[in-house]
Formats: sequence, C-alpha cells, structure tokens
Amino acid sequence: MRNAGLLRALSLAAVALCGLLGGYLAYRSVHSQASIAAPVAAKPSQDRNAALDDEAAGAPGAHVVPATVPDVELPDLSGRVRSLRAFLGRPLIINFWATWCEPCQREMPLLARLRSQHQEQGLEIVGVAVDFPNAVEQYLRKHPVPYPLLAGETQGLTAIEAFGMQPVLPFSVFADGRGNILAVKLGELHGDEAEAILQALQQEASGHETLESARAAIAERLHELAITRAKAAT
Amino acid sequence: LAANDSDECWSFKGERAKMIAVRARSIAWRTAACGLAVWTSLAAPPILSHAESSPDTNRAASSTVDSLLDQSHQTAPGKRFLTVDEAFHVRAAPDGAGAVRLTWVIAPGYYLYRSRIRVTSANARLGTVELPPGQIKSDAYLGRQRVYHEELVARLPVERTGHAALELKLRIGYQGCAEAGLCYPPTTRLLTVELPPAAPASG
Repeated sequence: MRNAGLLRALSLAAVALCGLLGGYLAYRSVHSQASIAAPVAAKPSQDRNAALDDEAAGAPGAHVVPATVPDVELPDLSGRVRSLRAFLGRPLIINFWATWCEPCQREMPLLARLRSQHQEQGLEIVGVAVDFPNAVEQYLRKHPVPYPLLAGETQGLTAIEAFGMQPVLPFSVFADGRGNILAVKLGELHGDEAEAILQALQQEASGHETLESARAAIAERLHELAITRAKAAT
Repeated sequence: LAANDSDECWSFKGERAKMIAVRARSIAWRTAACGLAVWTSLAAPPILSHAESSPDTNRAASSTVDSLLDQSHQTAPGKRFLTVDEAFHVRAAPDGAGAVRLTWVIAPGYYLYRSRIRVTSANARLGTVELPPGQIKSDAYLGRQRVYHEELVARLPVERTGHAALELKLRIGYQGCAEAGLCYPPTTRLLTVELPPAAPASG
C-alpha cells in the first residue's frame, strides 16, 4: 500500500511538473512571439524555383521586426556616434543602403524629393549606409544627399539585425514621431508606395487611424501596388 | 482457507503488481511526454532563440505586424527573396591541368555584375578570368552595366609551377541583385579544386 501511495504521489508530481512546465512554455511562447518567427533553414539550391515561389519556404530574414525603432547607434560621416532614436519626434524614414547597391542609388532622388515635399509634416529621412565611410564619402562627392547619413559596415549590419532584417538592400523603415514602426519596405521604394505609407502615417499621427489600422491599411495598399507592378511587368 | 488466503493474497499481490506496473508505465509515459514537450520547445527553430536573445525586447504582438513581417520579406506578392547561395550558386571544376571552370547558376529574376567578379588564390598564380561579354543592363539613372542571367561559365587559367597534382584554393568574389529591386552584399566563397598532374613540357 505504501508503494501504491508513493506511486500515486510520484504520478501526481509528474503531472503537476508537466502542467507547470507546459504553462511556462505556453507563456514563453506567447511572450516571445515565436508564432511570427519562422525557421531560417535554406532550401536546397536545386529547388530554386520552388523556393522563389514558396511563401512557406524558410526565407532569409525570417526574423522579427520590432514594433518600435530599436535603440541603435551609428557614427555619422564626421565620426560622431548618433542614436537612431534621437531622430524621433517627427515622422521618420530610415533608409538602409550601400554604395554597391544600385536600386539603393536609384531611390535616393525620390527620398530627397519626399523630404522636401513633406516638410510641413516634419518628415525626416536618415540614411544608414551599410558600407565603409570612405566609400560613402566618395559616392557623395558625385551624388550629394540632402538628408543626414550614418555609416558603418559592422555597425550597419548590427542595425539591420536590430530591425529584424537581413543584409539585403535597400529597405526603408517608416516610423511615426513616437517611434512606432508602421511599415518596412524591402527593395527599391517607389513613389506611389512611399505616398501611400506617408498618408497612413499622417492619419495615424493625427489620430484619425489607430496604429494597428494604419499598419493594416499600409500592408494592404502595398500588396495592391505590388500586384499592379507585377502585372505591369509581365 | 490458508490456501485461499494465500491465493487471495497472491491474487491481491498480482493485482498490486499489475497496478504498480500500470502506474510505473503511466509515470514513464508522462515523463517521456513531458521530456518530449521540453525537447520540442527547447529545440525550436533557431530564430526563436535569436528573437529571445535580441537586446530589443519590445516585440510587436499583433496580427498586423505579421503582415508587416510578411511584406518586409517579400520581393513581390507571395515571393520571398532567396538566400545569396540560392540566388547565385557557384562551383569550380578542373578544366584540364592548367585551368579551372567556374560556373554560377543564377536563379530566375536575379543577375550578377560582370565588373564585380574577383578570383584570387593563396597557393597559385592565376591568369585573368575569361568572362563572357554578358548582357547589357541599361538604367536611366545608372547607365549601362554588363550583367549575367541564368548561368555564367568562366575559364580561369592557372600558372603551374610543378607537375604534381595541385589542391588549388580559390577565393571567389561576386555581387548581384534581384530584378525586383534589391541587392546582396559582395559575397566571397572559398572553394578548393583538385587539379590533375600537369604533363611535363615536351622536348
């Protein structure tokens, strides 16, 4: 009988332990947002087309985009270390680029134009060059850029990681004045996409849209524009 | 009676033994299930630990951020971008005793820049890599560039100083982009090619 009691107690303890552990794991899962993270496993190279078309394929960069601009510091071209969050307080586009990236160069005139057209909104643009500062300086001699630039190869890669992205450029992060990230546009930014995002950002900033509805509206609009662009290309 | 008692006792002992066995099995199963749950959770995709180890703990928690995430990793609706090795897969093979054949398989919708291909070796002198002309890519803002789509095959002469087989170590640099408007950083891959013994010079 003692043995049976002991076994019963052991059994109950095992169940209780599992329950506690299960509860903890469930809590951890919810709070770590594991549900929106996907494995990073690469597809076999022979399955190239399938990988290209397969949304479920373990894509590079299946990291987690933070909800707010992370606390990242990079040097400007004079070597002074600046925090990205120091640029907040107004709508902000953080544009990741490099001198070896041609779509990045192609979108820079658009960014300059957006900054001047949205001056009333107080829009600021910060370029983060994931590159060597001397290469950036050399580039700027031919192609001056009117908005602030931060540069650094290692620091740039760290910043990319902090934004939950991979070193594939360009990409542009759109944030409101409080630092809430509303959109991340991977690849060359187009004028219609930028305008759609900035419009939603303004709606959110003025209180006409909630953060969540503005994000949803942007995602939907970018999707529509991408479909239109893909159709036009074929 | 004694026998009965004994039988009953035996029977009782048998029941107890069965009960103990069942309980033991139950505990074993529960422990195993529990262990499996722990293993599954701890052996979750590496990205999970990445997310957790990130200094930024302020992670988005809504379904709209799911779409933000999806959209931020797509080159076009439903098309996630490839890893650099999926986009540009390079291999090297001997091309006789005095050269190497380099082959890049380039995924549809991606291209490599001709001007950004570099090959060096730490243990042999190399000739100039013989690249095909490629295709002209014109851009209103950036001008004309020579690029490769689908496949690039290049011959790389190797200066042999001895006749013995050579384990040639190559450092191959290249850079490319996707037509969707994004680029990969300059990439370097280290490959080793076994070159066969060189024929002794005649005469």
